[in-house]
Amino acid sequence: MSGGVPVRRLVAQHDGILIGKAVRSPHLFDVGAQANWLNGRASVLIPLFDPFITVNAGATATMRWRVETRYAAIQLIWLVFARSLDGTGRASAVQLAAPTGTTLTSRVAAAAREATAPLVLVQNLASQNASEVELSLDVKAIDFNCEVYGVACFEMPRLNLAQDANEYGVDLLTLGARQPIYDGAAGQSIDAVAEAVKRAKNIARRNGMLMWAVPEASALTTTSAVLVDLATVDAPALARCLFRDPATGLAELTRTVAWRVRVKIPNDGLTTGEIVVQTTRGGAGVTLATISIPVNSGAGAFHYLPSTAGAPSTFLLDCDDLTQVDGRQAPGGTPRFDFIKFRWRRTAGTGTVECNGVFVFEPAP
Amino acid sequence: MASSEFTFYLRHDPAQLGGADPVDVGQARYLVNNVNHLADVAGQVWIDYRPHATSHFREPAIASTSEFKYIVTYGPFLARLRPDGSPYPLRCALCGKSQQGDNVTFRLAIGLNREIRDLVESGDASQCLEASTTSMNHGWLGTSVPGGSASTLIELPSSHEYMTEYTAESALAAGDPVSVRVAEVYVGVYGKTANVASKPHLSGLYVAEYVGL
Repeated sequence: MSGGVPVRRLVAQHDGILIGKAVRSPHLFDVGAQANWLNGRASVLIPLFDPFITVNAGATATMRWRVETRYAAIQLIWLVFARSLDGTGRASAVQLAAPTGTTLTSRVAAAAREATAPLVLVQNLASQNASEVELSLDVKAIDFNCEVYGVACFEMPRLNLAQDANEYGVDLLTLGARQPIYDGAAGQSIDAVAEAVKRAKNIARRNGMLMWAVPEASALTTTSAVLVDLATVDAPALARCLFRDPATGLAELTRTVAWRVRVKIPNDGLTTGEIVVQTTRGGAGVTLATISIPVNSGAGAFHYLPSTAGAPSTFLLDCDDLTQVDGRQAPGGTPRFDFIKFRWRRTAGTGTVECNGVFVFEPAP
Repeated sequence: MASSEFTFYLRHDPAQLGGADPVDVGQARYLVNNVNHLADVAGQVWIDYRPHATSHFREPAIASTSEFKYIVTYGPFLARLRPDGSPYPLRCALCGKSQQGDNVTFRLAIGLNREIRDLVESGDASQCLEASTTSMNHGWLGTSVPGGSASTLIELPSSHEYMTEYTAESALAAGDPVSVRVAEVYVGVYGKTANVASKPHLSGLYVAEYVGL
């Protein structure tokens, strides 16, 4: 058997678990099923965003992101929203490939006034991975210029999870009444339930929080010596709330999230730059974290910072407030999002600093 | 609604629940609390973007002062379902501006793909949010239920019509195909204006699952 993943979550009942009464099989069955739901129902890796780009006929736009997938992910679903810009209303063939450089798959982008459906591409992953990886996508316009007005990527939910130390599927039949209690058997009985719940804390994360990427040709640029905003307005975001703050006894107010950027500077031995992050919680103008772009970083090519070989930079973001109707914290009685602001500048030299991606995600602990 | 007993995750060592160990009441309740709390906070972010230039916006092809006109529809998003089959509520925000400073109104609707247009037209308070502005600068807008109070939350009804099946792989390589049941939900944004020369400019959206009170 393997761990069947329910379509709906359950609410495991605690009322009947009392001193003097046995912990019965239905209690554990509900916990095991819900652990499978948490670990198997997949994550959004790239929340939908509008790149505001046009791909010229015959050209290919390549976008790249840094994400952390779940180990259980074996397929990804891409949604690409594109429409033909042909002036006479003709549709255009569009070809998609994920990851970049693989076989292009044909789709059709309807004309501007008809394009309301996504182009869907299912990507079979080459390996299972629970660490940070790059996702990439090619969008090639064939007949006419095409406008891309949305990109999103999420994992395909699983039907069953393997009973092992990677996917943590729980065999629900072993939680039935009169079943033997297995000890140390993968995916079976109560110790498997406890392990699956513990692992779900890290697996069922809010993986993709804010993912922005554009092709290198559409990168933002700056030569400013003072910090300027990377985007026109700030991005709302909230992290999940897990623990109680030991100091106050109340729910934790902030959670650590990770961020990386994709940048380029000339390989001139002079130019350096930096990108900083500020939030509403952190206070106006208060820098919470800085990613520095050192001289000759990336040897003149676009690259990720901090280096993908190391730990991502982190900052604190407001958590959901489970006592509020919509989960926004309400300091002073006024509910508000935590808004993320990225600012950047050139810190030395005469070259142009470019950025074509910013990625915020909740990292695995 | 939040369902965990303590509304927090309680640190707990699975090694205390081996087959040879007694299951005491406290440990069992911790386990129940934790799995419920993790499900309460398992909501995902569906949409989060904003403009990087003043020219970054989407507008209706035709402006109207009397009816809402189509700007974008996004989806399908795979909704997480509560025990009654209804999707997790959705926390929403709209970012936009007015082309020439006249009052413009955005209406966001969430539901089945085929019902988005009708929802927008009817202004169904349970599945729509509105936001208005006269500002010519991009900015996040205060949202409200059509004709009602301030809100950022849309709570979809329980319905089996969300359900469909995807054919998926059962394993990484050479697995047999399996059918996975999913709930598909769509997000649409329409706009209207007080002056047809001043279109509503949609430049950002935020939609995220949240378990609700």
